[in-house]
This record gives sequence, structure tokens and C-alpha cells, in this order.
Amino acid sequence: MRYFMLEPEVAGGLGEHAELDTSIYPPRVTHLHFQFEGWLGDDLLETFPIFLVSESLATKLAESRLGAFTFRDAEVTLSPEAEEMLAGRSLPAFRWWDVSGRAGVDDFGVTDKAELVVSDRALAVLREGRIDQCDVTEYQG
Amino acid sequence: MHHAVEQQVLKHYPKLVKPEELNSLENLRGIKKGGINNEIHLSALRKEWNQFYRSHLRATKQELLDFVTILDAKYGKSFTPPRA
Repeated sequence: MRYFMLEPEVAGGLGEHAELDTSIYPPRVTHLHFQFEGWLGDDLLETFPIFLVSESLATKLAESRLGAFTFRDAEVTLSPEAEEMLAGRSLPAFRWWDVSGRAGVDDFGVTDKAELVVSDRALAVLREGRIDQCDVTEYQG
Repeated sequence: MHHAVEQQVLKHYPKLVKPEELNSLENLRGIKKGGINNEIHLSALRKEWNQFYRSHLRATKQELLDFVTILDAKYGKSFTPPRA
């Protein structure tokens, strides 16, 4: 099976209510406050060390039964700049996508640097959503 | 306006910089309103910072400033006024 490393769109970052433990690496996020700073339209987003997916892509991922992840609640807000940039466009709901699989082993996995690595069949599921801004390179392990 | 050193450094590197330093004129970059190209540049800057956090468990203030210098050289033409 082939595996791919993904570098998703970064549409914002950790907001002021986010809580994380930076004494470990990667930092452990205990409360996710994601603040949009802009959005180019992808269903898969990242801000180190976490990932988010739109509600519609979350449904597709759950239906795939490829496993090694859970969905968690996130506090999602828009910066004033994001509100301006999004004028007229609607922003879908996003969920915190907590991937726990091992890179290059499970269909959805993360490296020890919190990089997302997925199998070819997992990538096909992600491509059922929009991932136009996501850089995809083959994972060499 | 765009913060050259992102505000979320306060989360990744607690106590390294003060919020007022991030909001200083020196740290702000003007971005023209509208236009997909500006959004793409900002998105690219956020990806760059994401990689910085990934590669720097700890960071010094000088490392943040050095990284801003690199980003200004790479993307500064799209700022108002230009920084490159």
C-alpha cells in the first residue's frame, strides 16, 4: 500500500481560549479554540498540532470505517479580517479531527511531529471533499 | 493588517513575547483588501509559520525575528508598503 504525507490548508490558528501543554512535543491540546484568519475553501485544515475537517467531510470519514481517529468539539471563531474576506461566502461547521493512527501503518496516521500521513485509499476518501490547497507528497517512511 | 509574528506564538511559546509587542507597528504588515492573490499569500504565510512551530519546540525571540526577515524577503512584495 502507498502512503502520502499531507500538508493541509492553514486557514487560521490557535485562538486566545486554546489550552495546550507545551511541556511535551508535539504539544497536547486540551481545549481547541480555532480562529479563522481567512479560508480558501478546503474541507481539511491544519494548525500545528491539530487537524479540522468540515462536517460533510467528517461524515464521509466516519462512513469509510478506516478508523484510527475520533471527532472532538472545537470552539471556532472568525477574526475580523476573516469576516471581511469571507464576505458573501458561507463557512461550514468544522470538527476537530483527532487522528491517532501510526504514520505508514494505519490508513490515517500521524508522525511523531504531528504530520498527517494517509494511505492511498484514505486519500481517496479525503478527495471526496475539497482539498485543493493541501500539498500531497509520497511518504517514504 | 497582518501580524508578521503571529499572535498564536503566545500559545506556542508562552511568556516569550508580550501581546503589546505583537501589536506594535513594527510587527504589522499592510495587506490590500480584496483579491484572491492576497488571500493565497496570507495562506502561504500561515503554512510557513505552521512549519516553524513544528520544527521549533522552543524558540528564542531572535529566531522569531529571523524568520520574519525570511518571510518578508519571500512575500514582502505583496505587502503595503512592500517589504522586500
